[in-house]
Amino acid sequence: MSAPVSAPATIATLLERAGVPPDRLDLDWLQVTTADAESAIVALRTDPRFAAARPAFSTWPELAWSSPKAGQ
Amino acid sequence: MTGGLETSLAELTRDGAASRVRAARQRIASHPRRRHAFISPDPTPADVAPPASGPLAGAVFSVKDNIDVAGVTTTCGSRVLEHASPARDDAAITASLRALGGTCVGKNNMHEFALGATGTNDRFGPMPNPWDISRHVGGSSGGSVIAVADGMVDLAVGTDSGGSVRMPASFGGIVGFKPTSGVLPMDGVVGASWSIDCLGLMTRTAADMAFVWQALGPPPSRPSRARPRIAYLMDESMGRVAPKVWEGYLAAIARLRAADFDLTGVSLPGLEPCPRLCISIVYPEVASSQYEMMRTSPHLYEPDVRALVALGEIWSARNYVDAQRARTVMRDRVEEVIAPFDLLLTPTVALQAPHFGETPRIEGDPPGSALFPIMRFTVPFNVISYPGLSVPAGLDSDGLPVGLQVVGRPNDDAAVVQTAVAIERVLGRLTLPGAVAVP
Repeated sequence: MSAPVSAPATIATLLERAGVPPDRLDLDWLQVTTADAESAIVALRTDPRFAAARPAFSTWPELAWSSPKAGQ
Repeated sequence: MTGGLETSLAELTRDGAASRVRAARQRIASHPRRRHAFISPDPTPADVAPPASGPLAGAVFSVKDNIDVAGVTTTCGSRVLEHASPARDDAAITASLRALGGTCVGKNNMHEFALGATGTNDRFGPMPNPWDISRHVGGSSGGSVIAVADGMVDLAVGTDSGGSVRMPASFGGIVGFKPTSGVLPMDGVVGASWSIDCLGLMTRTAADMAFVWQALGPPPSRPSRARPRIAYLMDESMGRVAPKVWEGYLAAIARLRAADFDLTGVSLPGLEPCPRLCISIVYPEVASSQYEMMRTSPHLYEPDVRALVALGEIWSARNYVDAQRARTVMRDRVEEVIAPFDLLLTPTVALQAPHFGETPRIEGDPPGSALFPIMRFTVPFNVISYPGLSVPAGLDSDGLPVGLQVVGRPNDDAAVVQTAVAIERVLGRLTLPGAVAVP
C-alpha cells in the first residue's frame, strides 16, 4: 500500500513535478481531502467482500460503451 | 392546444409548433433571468421554421454547455474553452431531440466543467434559485434548472456525476432524472468522468418526463409491477438531514401511504464512503482528460476547480482502482437492504438550497468537504450506477421546494419514471410564483 500524501509541501512538490503550478491552491484542503478519501478506501478494504470485488467498469454492463442507447 | 410553456408536452399539436417556438424565443429574449440561465443561444436563425413533425414538435429544449450544439462553442462554463472553435456537429442527444421534432433554443450556464454545486460561475454569472434569489440553485446543471423552472424551455439536458441534475432540480422545484448509466448516448458530451458521467433530463412535471422518455425510445425495461413494493429511508442512517427538509420528506411519505402506496421503512447504513469514492474516481479521470489544458492554461481555471483537477494529479493509481472495486461493495450494501423491494425513496438533498457564499453544513455533521452534505443522497446512486429521479414533494415551512428521490435498479428506468408520475398525482405539481406563461 502506498503511503498517503501527508504534507502540503509534498503536495506542492508533486504538483510541480507533474507540471501543474501549485500557486494559489489551498494545499491544506488538498491534504485533508486526500487523506480523508484515502482513509475511507483503506477502511473499505477490510470489508470481506472487497477481496473478490472487481472494478465496476469491468463488470457492470451498463458502463459498457456499446450498450443500447435511447434516441438512436 | 398550442398555449404557453405551461402546456403539457403530451398536449402539443403540430399545427401550433411554429408559433409556440417563436413565442418561446421571445420569452427567453426578454426574461430577466436569461443571462443566468443561458451562456449562448442556438445559432439557428429565428426565421427558420421548427420541425412540424415528431412527438416533440413544438417543444423547446436547451442543453448544458458541456453538450455540443453544431456551430456553437462548447465552453463547459470555463474561460479555458471560451474561445475554442465551435462544435462541428450536434451531440448525439441534441441530434436525437431535434430528430424527434424538438427545437434547441440555447446552451445553459453551469458550474465550470461540471465540477461543483455552488451555483456560481465567475465568468458567466451566478445561478440564483428562482424560489428565493438570495439562494443559489445548486449545480452543476444550475442554468438548466432556471430555464425549466422559469418556463423558458420545456426540457433541458444536463449531466449528472454526483447529483448535478437531481440536486438542482430538487432545489428548483422541478423533475430531474438520471437514467441508467449509458442509456443516453454520451457522444459529443464533454463529461467530468468517463466511468461515472451520465446524461440527465429536466422537465417541470413527471408527466412531461414520461412523455420525453417514451419519445426517446429507450431500451426495453423489465416489466414493472402494477403496485410496486417501495422501500423508503426512514431514518438518518445515510447521514444527517436538516429538520425542515426531513419534515417535508416525511409529510410526503405519509401522503403516499394514505394513497395506498406499498411502503416499508428501511435503514441504509454503510454508504458514507460514497462521496469519497466518487471524488477518487472523478478527479483522476478529469486530470487525465484535461492534462493538456491544465498545463497550457492553468490560471484560466477558477481556483476551486483547479484544486480538484490537482487532486486528481496526485491521486495514487491504486486508490483509483480500489475505488472502482469498492463500488461493487457499495452496491452489495444497498442490495442487502432493498433486495425485497422494487424501488427506493429518499430525500433528494439533505438541506435547503444554501444562500450564495454559505458553506452547506448540517448541525451535527462531522467535518468534511462542503460538497459532501449536499450530495449525500444523490452520489451513492452514481457510485453504484442506479437510476434516480427527483420529483417535487411540496414546499417546506419556509416555502422552499423539497425533492423526493426515486431510485431503481439498472434498466428499470420506465418503472422509476412511472412511479414519479404516480407520486406527482398524489403530491401535486409545483408552480413557481410569478412564472409567466407564453401568451
